[in-house]
Amino acid sequence: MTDNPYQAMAKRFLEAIPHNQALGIELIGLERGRARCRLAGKQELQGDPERGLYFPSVLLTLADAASGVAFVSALGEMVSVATLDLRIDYLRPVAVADALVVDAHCYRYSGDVGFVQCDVMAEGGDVPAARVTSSFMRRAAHRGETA
Amino acid sequence: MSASPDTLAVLRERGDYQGVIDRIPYTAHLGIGVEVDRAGAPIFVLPFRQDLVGNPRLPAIHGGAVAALMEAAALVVTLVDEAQSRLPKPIDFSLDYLRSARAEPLYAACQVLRQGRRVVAVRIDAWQEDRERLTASGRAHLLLSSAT
Repeated sequence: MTDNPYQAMAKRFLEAIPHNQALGIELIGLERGRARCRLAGKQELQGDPERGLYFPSVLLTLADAASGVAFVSALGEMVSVATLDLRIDYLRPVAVADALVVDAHCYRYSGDVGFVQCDVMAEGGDVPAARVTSSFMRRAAHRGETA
Repeated sequence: MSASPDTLAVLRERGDYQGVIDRIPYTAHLGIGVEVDRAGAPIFVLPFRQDLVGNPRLPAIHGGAVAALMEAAALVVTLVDEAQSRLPKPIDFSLDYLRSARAEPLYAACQVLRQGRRVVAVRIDAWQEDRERLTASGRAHLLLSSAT
C-alpha cells in the first residue's frame, strides 16, 4: 500500500521509531490529514491474560502514533510534532487474537496546532473499540538540529 | 504445596503492587518497578530502555509508554486498594503531556479523587528528576467489578 512517495517516506519514518517498532506498529494507509495504522496482537501486549485482552494503553499508543502522522501529513512537510493532550474512551475491550487498526483524521489545523480524532478497531470489526481525541503542536526546531 | 504463582487475591491482600505488575504481561514486559515514597505510598517506575523511544532526535520516551506507566499505576493501585478480584475496566483516560520524557527513569503516582461504589476517579502524575516538574498529568475513570 505504498502508492505514493510521501506515504513510503512516512511509513519508513513511523516504523523506524523504536517504540513503534517494538510494538509492531505499521502504517498501512495515508492521505493528506488521514493515517491508517495496524498492530498485530502479541502475548506480551496482554493486560488480562485470563481473557486474552490487550492492556488498554496499547490502543492509546497506536492511536497516538497514527494521530501524529495524520497531523504531519496535514501540514504537508516532514516536521517533528508533540502531543499536547490526548483523551481515550475505552468502548469495548479487544483480544490480542485480533490485530488492531486505527484511522486517524486531522480534521483541523492552523499554524502550529492540529486537532485529531481517531477510532481504534479490532481488524475486520465494524464498531470502534476506542475513540481518541488529541491535539498536537509542531515542535520548535532545536538549536543545532539540522533537519 | 502448590508451585503455582500467588493468585491476584493473595498479592492484593499482601499489598504486593510489584507482584501484580509482574502478573500482567504488558507491565511485566515494560519492566515497571514499584518503590515506596516517604509517606508509604507506591511509586511506579519505568526504567529507560532504547525500545521505549518515540522521538530518536531528542531522544524522548514515546507518549504511549508514558501513558502505559500512568495507566498501570491507576489500575494496579485501584485493584489492590479497592480489593478487586481482577484489573478494573478503564472507562476513559485523559492526559496532558507537559514536557518530553527524557532518556531517564520515569515515575508515576496516583491519587484517588473520588471513590464511588461502581466508579473510581483517579489522578495520575508522571515525572522524572523532580516531582514538582511534571512530565505528564492525567485523569482516569475506572469501573469496579460488581462483586462486593
